[in-house]
Amino acid sequence: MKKRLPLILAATIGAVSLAGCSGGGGTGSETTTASGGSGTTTAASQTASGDKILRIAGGFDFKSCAEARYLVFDSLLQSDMWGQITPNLAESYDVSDDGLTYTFHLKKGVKYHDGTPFNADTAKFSLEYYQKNNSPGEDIESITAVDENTVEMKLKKYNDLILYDIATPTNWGGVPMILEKDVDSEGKITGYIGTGAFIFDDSTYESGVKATMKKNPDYWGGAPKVDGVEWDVVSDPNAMVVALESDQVDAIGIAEHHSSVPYVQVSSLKSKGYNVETDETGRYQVLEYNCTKAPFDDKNVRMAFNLAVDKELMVDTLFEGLTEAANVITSPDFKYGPKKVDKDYYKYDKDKAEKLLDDAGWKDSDGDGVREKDGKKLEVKLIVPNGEANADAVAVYVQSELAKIGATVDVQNLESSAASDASKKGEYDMYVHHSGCMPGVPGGINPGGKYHSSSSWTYSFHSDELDKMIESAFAESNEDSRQQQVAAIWQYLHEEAPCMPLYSVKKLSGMNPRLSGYHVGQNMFDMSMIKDMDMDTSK
Amino acid sequence: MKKLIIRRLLIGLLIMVVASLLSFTVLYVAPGNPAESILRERTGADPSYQDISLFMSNNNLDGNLFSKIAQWLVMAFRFDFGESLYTGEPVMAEFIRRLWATLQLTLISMGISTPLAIIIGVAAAAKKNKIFDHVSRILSLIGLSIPDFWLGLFLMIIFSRTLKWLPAFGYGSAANYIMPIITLCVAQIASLTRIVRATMLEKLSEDYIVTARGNGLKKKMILMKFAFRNSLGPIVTYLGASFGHLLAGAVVVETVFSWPGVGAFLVDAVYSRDYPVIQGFVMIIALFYVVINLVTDILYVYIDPRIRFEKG
Repeated sequence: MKKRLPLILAATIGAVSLAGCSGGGGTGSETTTASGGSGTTTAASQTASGDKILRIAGGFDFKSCAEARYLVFDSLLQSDMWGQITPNLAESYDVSDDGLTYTFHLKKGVKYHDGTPFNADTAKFSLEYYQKNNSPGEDIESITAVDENTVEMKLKKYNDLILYDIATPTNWGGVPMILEKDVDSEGKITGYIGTGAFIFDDSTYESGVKATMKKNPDYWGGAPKVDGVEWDVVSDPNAMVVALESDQVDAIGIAEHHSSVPYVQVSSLKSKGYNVETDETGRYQVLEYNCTKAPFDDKNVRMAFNLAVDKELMVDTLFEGLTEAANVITSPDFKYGPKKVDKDYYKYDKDKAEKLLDDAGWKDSDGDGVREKDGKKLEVKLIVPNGEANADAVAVYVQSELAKIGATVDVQNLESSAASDASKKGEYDMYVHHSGCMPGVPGGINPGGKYHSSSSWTYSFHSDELDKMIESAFAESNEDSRQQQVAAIWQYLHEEAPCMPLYSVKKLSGMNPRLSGYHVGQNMFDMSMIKDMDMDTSK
Repeated sequence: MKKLIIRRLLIGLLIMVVASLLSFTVLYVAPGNPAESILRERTGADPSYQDISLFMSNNNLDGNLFSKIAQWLVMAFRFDFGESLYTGEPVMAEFIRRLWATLQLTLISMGISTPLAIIIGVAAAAKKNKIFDHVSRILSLIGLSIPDFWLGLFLMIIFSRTLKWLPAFGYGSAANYIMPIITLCVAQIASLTRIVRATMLEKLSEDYIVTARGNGLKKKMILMKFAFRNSLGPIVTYLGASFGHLLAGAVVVETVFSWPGVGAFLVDAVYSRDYPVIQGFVMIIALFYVVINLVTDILYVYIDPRIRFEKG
């Protein structure tokens, strides 16, 4: 018998692994039924005390996420998805006639999580932290606490775009209302005592594993409906879907600004009864052109490429119609978006694309299917940075579309840092990227933005004329006049075809049907809507 | 023996420094900039030149390669690698926390897979070309060919989604260990079984085995006392290497199961060019390699009395 032990062991392992393998064929068609679960994992949302704890899958650690800040911190102002600014912790604000002095009138009776009152001193400290640690802070001349509930900010030069930062409660490019004790000796914000809807519990925080928050019952905007939030780190997007389906989390995708829920999983999640929210954030995926060298130094070639790709078909086939094709540079819904430009400006028109290339001198004279000019073939390099959503599929699609008009695209996948380095050095013809969205001025038409010559996108389209238009528009304090100038900028830019817009990148979140009250946030980072969500633990 | 250990430790120290220095220099020279990657991830927008230079000066990233190396040397000798640029947490504290998570996976999966693989490998060699041998060879081939991420997700779909027995992510409770360990064990058992079988067969064909057989020794005696004992060298070498490999290389399993280990964190650090983390982690992982190799070498002496290091 003793002799046999190894054999028996080996046979058992073999049988187990065989059983595992033979199960593989069945996974494709299997369906999950809730009744099948007599298992050991319990729905943690129903805790012993009956508390409603909303469990969110977070792709990253709580403390390294800008998104998480929206739960704990508040900002003086708020902006919606399209750039309209509304009051928040500042009940109202005044702007002086010269546009250089902002006076914020603070809400009274607001307290930080530790009981410290929120007042002009704490707001001043928070604004000064921003001034020291963010580059637009250089435009700030002084910050003064006028009285208990009034703060005055003086600027050196007119820059009302700084309000977008003041409307953002993250400490990277935003102004969260913090306390002095939140800042460590190195000047970093490591404390999480804010005025927000949820109170962070440092004692249960595990780096890279989870974080818990309980509701702030005294929240000035009304106490959250759930009793707490649990942030569970789930790094793999497919594991996130499994975690939702096995009822270990209640919501996925909500904690990442990029779309972490795989587009291909959407229809399956919906068919199983999960709610899938697709939020339009105004961010478009685009292909940047290197406008400083042939062939894209010629605007006719850029325009031809823009017209040669059937984006509608791409969206239908690659993304099952989950999103919309983009035929303008950025969303017209933005406050400073291209509202007056024809929505179909770059609509697919292969004949026109071919004619434009013919007229530009790119012809297929040797009949090999590839156009050439002055002995040079129409061959371009398209860089796909690793991690750019859906970019691989999109690149291949664009490659096949452009082949139809006689252009060869060499697709190169690069690690994201290496890719962005290539963009800095101009070592690309086309580059998969995205337009901006809130907070900030989307579409790159602000001073320092992509289409301004001071931008880090040195090889994008720039001109002296455009620089002047941009600088003049954003130095204009009259809103009507600024809107007219912005409209002129967009008209000018669209004629220049500085990039190829592809489709609107939507933020997807999947939710257990027991959750209700989800609404779109103020930008793709914002997850503060959780305070308005409720859960029916009986489901 | 003492001399050997001291000499090897000194060489090990050099290896650690060189490994960390090399990895830093290569990444420093490679394209990419931590300020840019980190700012882009956090703000979701392209950082301006002003943002980048402010981040660089706030985080002490300015200066050329040589001044950076000098700074690094000071840090390395104090064994304090500063704070992660990305998380702002001290590198050493982060490493120790994550090392513990990874070590548990590594030790448990090696503890399970090693005896199993040895048993299967030895049995397969003893029954060469019999049905058990064929089955174990096919299974180990399958085990080797299955990618970690596929197996991990497959287990997750079966045990988390369908059966709802095991959690798909998490760290701390016993149930969290099962799937990551199975995933690690499959490949580990598969490759070690093949090594054990191959080494055993090689030893079994040697002259002293024939002699032993001729002398009428029992089969079991020949197998265990002669062949297996002599096969231990390559097996221990392999185990030492795979221990080090598991320590830094369980990246895929750590990512799939959201395990807060060393590997996944290090890979993220490479993407965001988080120099302090890379330097610190590489150096300490190198230390582990050095220690494991030393232990392996010392073990040789006990496994095979013919090996003596004094003269070398």
